[in-house]
Amino acid sequence: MDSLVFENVRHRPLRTIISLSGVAIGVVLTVLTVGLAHGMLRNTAERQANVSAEIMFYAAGDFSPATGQALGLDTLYKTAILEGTSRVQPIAGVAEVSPVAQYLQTSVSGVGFEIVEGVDFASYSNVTDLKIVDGRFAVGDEAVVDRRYARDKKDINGQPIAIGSKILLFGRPVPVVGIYEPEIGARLKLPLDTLQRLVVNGAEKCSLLLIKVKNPAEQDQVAAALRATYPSNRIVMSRDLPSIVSGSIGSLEVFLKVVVRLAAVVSTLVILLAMYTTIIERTREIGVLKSLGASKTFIVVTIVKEALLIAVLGILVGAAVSVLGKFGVEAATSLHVDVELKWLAIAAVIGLVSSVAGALYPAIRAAYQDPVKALSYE
Amino acid sequence: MSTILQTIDLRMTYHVGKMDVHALRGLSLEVERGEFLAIMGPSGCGKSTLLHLCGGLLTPTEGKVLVDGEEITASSDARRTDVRRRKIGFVFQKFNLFPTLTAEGNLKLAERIFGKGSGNGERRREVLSLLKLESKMRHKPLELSGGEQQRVAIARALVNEPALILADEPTGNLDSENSEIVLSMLRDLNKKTNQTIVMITHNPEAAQYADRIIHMRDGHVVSEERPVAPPVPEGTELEGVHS
Ligand SMILES: Nc1ncnc2c1ncn2[C@@H]1O[C@H](COP(=O)(O)OP(=O)(O)OP(=O)(O)O)[C@@H](O)[C@H]1O
Ligand SMILES: [Mg+2]
Repeated sequence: MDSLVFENVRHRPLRTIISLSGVAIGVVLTVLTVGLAHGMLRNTAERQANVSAEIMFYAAGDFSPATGQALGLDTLYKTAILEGTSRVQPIAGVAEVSPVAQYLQTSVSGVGFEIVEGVDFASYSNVTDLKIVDGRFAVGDEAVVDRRYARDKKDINGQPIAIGSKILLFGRPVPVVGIYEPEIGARLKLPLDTLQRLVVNGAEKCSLLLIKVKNPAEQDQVAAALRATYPSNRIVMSRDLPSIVSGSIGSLEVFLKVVVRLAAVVSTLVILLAMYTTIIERTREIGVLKSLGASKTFIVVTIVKEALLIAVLGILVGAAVSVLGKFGVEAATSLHVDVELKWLAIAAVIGLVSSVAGALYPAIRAAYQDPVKALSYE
Repeated sequence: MSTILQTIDLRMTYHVGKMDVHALRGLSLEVERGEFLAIMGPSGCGKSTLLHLCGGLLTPTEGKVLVDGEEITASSDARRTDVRRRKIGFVFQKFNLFPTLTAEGNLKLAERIFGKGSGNGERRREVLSLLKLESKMRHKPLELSGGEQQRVAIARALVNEPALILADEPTGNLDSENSEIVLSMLRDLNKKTNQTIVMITHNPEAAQYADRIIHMRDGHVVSEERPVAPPVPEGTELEGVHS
């Protein structure tokens, strides 16, 4: 190790800590933001894998539960698809249709929002892998939650959720009567009719129909028949959902790019400032280096090395904070954060490159200083 | 005897605003290998300017500087830096040690700049013992007295075996006792290892340690003398050495 570089970093602990934090913040910002986005995507895909229905049938237009027209689909479509009506033929090849209502409420914990789902248990268990592992399915003003929700969240008394715990739903305490696995859709489920009663005064409405076909190989034909019969409805294939989700967060990719660049800018500026003050403070020492015959390259390399050492420390701290942050976020919220090695590496490279970029201007300035003036600097 | 340092009609003019300050006005000088030369003169007569020019830290307005046969004035900054690195050891009034490094660390840094990698431990010990600093190797500058710091600075200047030591008032910040120690060591160094030394001093008694004294005024050499009496006997206090 270059002792001059090492001792300089050690000699100014506050400066070192501040500039190191700048790099660390950049790393955390990059790793956690990307981790959050990717965790979200992965979780969506995983949950979707637990839905065996091949087709999702929506009302016309957007299908996001956040758009307000949450319960925009008549449940009568179920009968129409399975049995037909006076005006339409039944759709051939459909095994089961399950109406699902989705509603966005303020999170039970009071922080953020969460989706509550109203499902018809009998048909829902035919179109998904859902199993009640503890207790029973909800009837009336009762709810079921998934295993992780029960583990991570607290009931109205601040206790862990178990059978019999009460949680706040639509502003009222509602008992949890069952715990299910695996994670599918929303983590909080009510009977469909209860949600309809609470949200649309008991109207026979839902958000979507989950449609399971008799023969998965014929799902495209079934979808085609649905499209032909119900041209104004939106038909989505389950297998396309992950790409639809990542497509709908296309703007997220832009956001990620902004965050990554911001991280690079923060690191660069912090290092620039730190190294700039350092070279001013050490003007005289730079003069001495020159009197000893140090070349410009030597001086630039020495200063850049110092910035790199700070960056390496910052990256290590940033990586550690990111991992802690992941567990913190996952414990406090229902969000998933994927801390990926690839992105840790990318963040590290950004930290190193921006610290070199930040150190370069002060380093070159130092290298071009007039040695005699530098030597007489007080 | 061969010439190790030569200046030919050296002129240096500083521009301060619209004023021209003529620090050197055609100064020619020759220093022999193995010589211990003292330069004296009133403040502002151009002594430091001369030393900086000899070490390639400045370029003259006119004239030439030759160090060990190499002309440094006409060459690029990189070239002058290179000559300085290989041939010259500077010693300053203010010691100018790196405060975060130990005595040995300061020497190692000079070796690294010289290009000796991790350096030569034997050479470092030899130089430190020459300056009676063996026990201070691991001390940082603030843990050393002024005299010790200046001896470390001299050791640092010597570690790469330069052809020439250029010292600008090396005892200017030392009390008389420490001045005497440092001056005796410089003289011993000069006698024992034939090290060439050019030293600026304000103190006539310090100058007595040299083989030759030149007196400057207004950017010229005005006179030259060789101390006749042998240098101050051991143990004699140097009086009137200011710090
Ligand atoms: N960078 C500079 N810019 C302008 N003038 C300068 C500069 N350096 C030195 N001078 C001027 O040049 C002259 C010689 O300065 P120099 O430092 O060489 O004197 P000196 O003999 O070393 O004096 P001292 O004994 O006080 O150290 C002085 O008049 C000084 O003011
Ligand atoms: Mg001077």
